[in-house]
Amino acid sequence: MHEVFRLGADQVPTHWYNILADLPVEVPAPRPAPRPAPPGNGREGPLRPQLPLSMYRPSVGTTRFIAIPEPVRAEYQRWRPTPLYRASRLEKALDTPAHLYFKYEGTSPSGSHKINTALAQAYYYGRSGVREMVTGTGAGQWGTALSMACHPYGMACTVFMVRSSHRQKPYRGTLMRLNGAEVIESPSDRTEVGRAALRADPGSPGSLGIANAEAIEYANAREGARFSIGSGENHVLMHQTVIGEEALLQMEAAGEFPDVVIAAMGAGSNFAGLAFPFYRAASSGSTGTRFLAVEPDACPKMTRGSYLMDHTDYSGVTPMVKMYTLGHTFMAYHIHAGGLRYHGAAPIVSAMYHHGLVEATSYGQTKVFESGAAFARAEGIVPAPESAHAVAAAIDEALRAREERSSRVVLFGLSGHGLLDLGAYESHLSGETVDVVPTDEEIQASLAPLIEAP
Amino acid sequence: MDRASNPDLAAEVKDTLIKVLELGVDREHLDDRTSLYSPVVGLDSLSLLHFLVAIEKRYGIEIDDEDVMAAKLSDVGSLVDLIRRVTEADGAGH
Repeated sequence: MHEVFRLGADQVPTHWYNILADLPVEVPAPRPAPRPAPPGNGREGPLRPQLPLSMYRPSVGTTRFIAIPEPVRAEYQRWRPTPLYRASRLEKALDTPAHLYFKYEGTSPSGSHKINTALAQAYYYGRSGVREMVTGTGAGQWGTALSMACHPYGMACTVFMVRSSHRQKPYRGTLMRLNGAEVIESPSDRTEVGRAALRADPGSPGSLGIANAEAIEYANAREGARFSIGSGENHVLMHQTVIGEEALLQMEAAGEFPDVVIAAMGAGSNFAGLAFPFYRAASSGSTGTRFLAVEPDACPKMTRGSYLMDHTDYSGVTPMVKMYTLGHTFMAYHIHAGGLRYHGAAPIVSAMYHHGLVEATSYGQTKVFESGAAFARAEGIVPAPESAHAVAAAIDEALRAREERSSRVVLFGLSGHGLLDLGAYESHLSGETVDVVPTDEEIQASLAPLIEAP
Repeated sequence: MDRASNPDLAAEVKDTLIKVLELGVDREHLDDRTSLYSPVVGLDSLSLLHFLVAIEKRYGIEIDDEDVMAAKLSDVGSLVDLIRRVTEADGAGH
């Protein structure tokens, strides 16, 4: 039995997949942020386009396949295609008849899938004359990826990193600084948004919403700088489809097609990257394939949030998009999977969930780390805490298959390695990991302004 | 008619703006000096791109990233000027 399915460098996808070409449901258009906007966000000066038009254009059209610019594909070929594994030792450990496969993105230079869009964005921004990329990062994987991606294009990189993650994962900051980025702990005193957050709570752990809001304000005040984000925007999801396009070929080599595709859900690019190409392939047949997004109990935007127009940032500067959200002011409790603490789900994934095309579930971090540790023991790869959410759901599918005495093919995304998250695993081994879940009242409090003025 | 000498360009740009952004106002309400941030227009960075994609479709052109990123857009007139520059540079017939 083959356990590793590899492709040649010439099999790196030549095109990204745009699911809007095949989606049978509407994805509502964004709506401008209501006025008046808060101060310090750039509204005082000329309007500054934040995205290169050539990057935005295909993400709102219905052209099915978008050619990957050759310089970006050449960068991809430095480590792509990434391997797809049959998790046979985990199957054995679980004594399951299920066939478990995982697509591993941890072999990338930044250690996660994030660099797939970071390189694409850096290419488009650099070509547009932008000289500095500014961003916010949660667990640090996006910041790491962007700092690495700016190199080939000679751009500077400034990263606002969520305070709790910055202190818990100092080596992430080191890695970004090694790549030439300036790393600023958020909330910071560099921006009005940050200063306001610190006035409200000097001990604030920060959030991705605040970090992004700081990055927007900071970028708007600097000539030649632009804010960049690697979360749930259409173009980000599209860039990540190289994952699923490769996995389609690899599953074909394995002679199987997944009954269920599972991936962790932060804002949605990891989930979309793996799931969307399989959605296309499944739609043309009758496979009955399920698509399962896995989020943390601490930030249950899909399983407990509402489908509303909301801002993508904490300060309410950004346009509003229709998404499953906990409210842009929702402050998720600290968990080790900082990359999954974002308050909203990507508009495309949200529309699919709203219409029953994808499923969602959530897990507490105790079970997530138990699953991650079990996976590490069986397969020899330490999953990032975010990725371990997908592992937890895959293990549950495998155990259900055992109980029901029926086989099934499970494909899950291992979006990154956890070698910079060993402190979190140490907490788990020491029995210090606790589950944190927001109350209904806490969720309603941050949703209320949106429900009252949708 | 050459687009460079298209006297109706400003009106066409304003009509596209009204349609794409669903402004619900007549063209006469869009003075060249109307701020893009005004309650009448309410443009932001994302809806600007949405509008530019519509302009590209209307005129069958692709606008360069650098032209957009370098533009100083503050009022309706500056937006019309941008479209005039890129359509003139494109040089195709109307």
